[in-house]
Amino acid sequence: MDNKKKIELLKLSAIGCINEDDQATLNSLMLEDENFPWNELGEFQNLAALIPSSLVIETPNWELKDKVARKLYNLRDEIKSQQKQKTTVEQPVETSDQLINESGEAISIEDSGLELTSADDIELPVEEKISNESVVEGEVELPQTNVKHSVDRELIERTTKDYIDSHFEKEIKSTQKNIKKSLLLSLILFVISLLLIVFMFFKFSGDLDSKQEEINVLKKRLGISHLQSSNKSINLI
Amino acid sequence: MAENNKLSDSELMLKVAGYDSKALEQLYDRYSPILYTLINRILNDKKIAEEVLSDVFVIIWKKIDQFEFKTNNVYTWLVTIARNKAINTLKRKKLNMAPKEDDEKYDDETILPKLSTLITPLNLEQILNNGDKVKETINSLTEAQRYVLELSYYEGLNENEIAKKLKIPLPTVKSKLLLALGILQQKLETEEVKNG
Repeated sequence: MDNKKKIELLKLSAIGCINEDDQATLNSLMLEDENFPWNELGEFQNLAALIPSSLVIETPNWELKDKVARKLYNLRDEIKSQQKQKTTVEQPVETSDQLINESGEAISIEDSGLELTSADDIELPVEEKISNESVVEGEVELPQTNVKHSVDRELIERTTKDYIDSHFEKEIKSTQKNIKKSLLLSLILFVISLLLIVFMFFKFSGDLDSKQEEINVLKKRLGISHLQSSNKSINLI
Repeated sequence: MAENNKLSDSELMLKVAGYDSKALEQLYDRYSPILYTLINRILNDKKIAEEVLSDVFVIIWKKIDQFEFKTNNVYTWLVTIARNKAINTLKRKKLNMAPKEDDEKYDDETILPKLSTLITPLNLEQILNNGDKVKETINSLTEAQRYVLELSYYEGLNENEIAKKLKIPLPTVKSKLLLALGILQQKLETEEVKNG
């Protein structure tokens, strides 16, 4: 295939417009062709990725961030359940250099008087050999998957924990802020109302005193006029 | 979080590869607007676009080991994943098929991009600042070229499907597309647009 045709294919592939057959051809070229135009492929992949920058950029709903976090959390559970299924298959068989005698006591192989024969020395029927081989293959593969998944699980657990912790931290911080704000506000309100009460107290007590004085003055006046009128009546008599 | 704010995209990706959730959060803050805009343009449904965007971040989280740290092109990797996932969802929606359940092999084959080993990294901030230039260049294409380009990029139609839809010969579709790409390449090749 000439270079022009290759570039044509990679342009169509970069823009996502290539049909399945041409994509398969391109894939095999990428694997086999030593002179594959990788630079041009990169250039057109970058060019295609620039297209969305021409759109008016919108921001997704802020709640979506939490939704993504929840998805990661569910992912952890999923891996956990996968892990459980694996562990039932992967239960390690405990091996021991001891045998149990008829009375239930443990005795070493040397003491048992048995001769150990290597597995290769034992003649097995062909079917059994094959099944043994497949068992050995399975045993070799399983620990690898176990390690990978346990690492994944730990990492995802740690990550999800970090994420949740950071969210809780944020919430706690914002709640603490709110509490501080409301405390300050209530303190201010309390001081204002206290001042009002003190002001009212002094104002009313002042008023009361002046009224009391007025009453006393009036009473005095009334007493004097009463005396004067009684004197007058005595004089008349 | 503030620390991550100063990190470059590739440094963030390294942290995400170590399953640092705060780095992923920062990556989300940086990239979710452009990815959401692209997905929403393809699907034209805000609710589904949000679903797909969250799927995209789950894929990033699960498939970070497939990111090529040698070339470090975070922008093109993320945009292509988002586009592929959205197109995939659109096609399934058109065929009334249920959304694809998590299938790692399927994701590897259809969603994850196979970027060139010699691709140069792009700068998100610079690209967003030059969005108007890209828009101008796309608008400078003829209506037919633009339409064919949009059918391909935003609707995920291949050359045969476009030819069938527009009832025009396949070579015409190809030539229009290749010409449109040529013009875009010529006008946007300046380093100013991509890397500043």
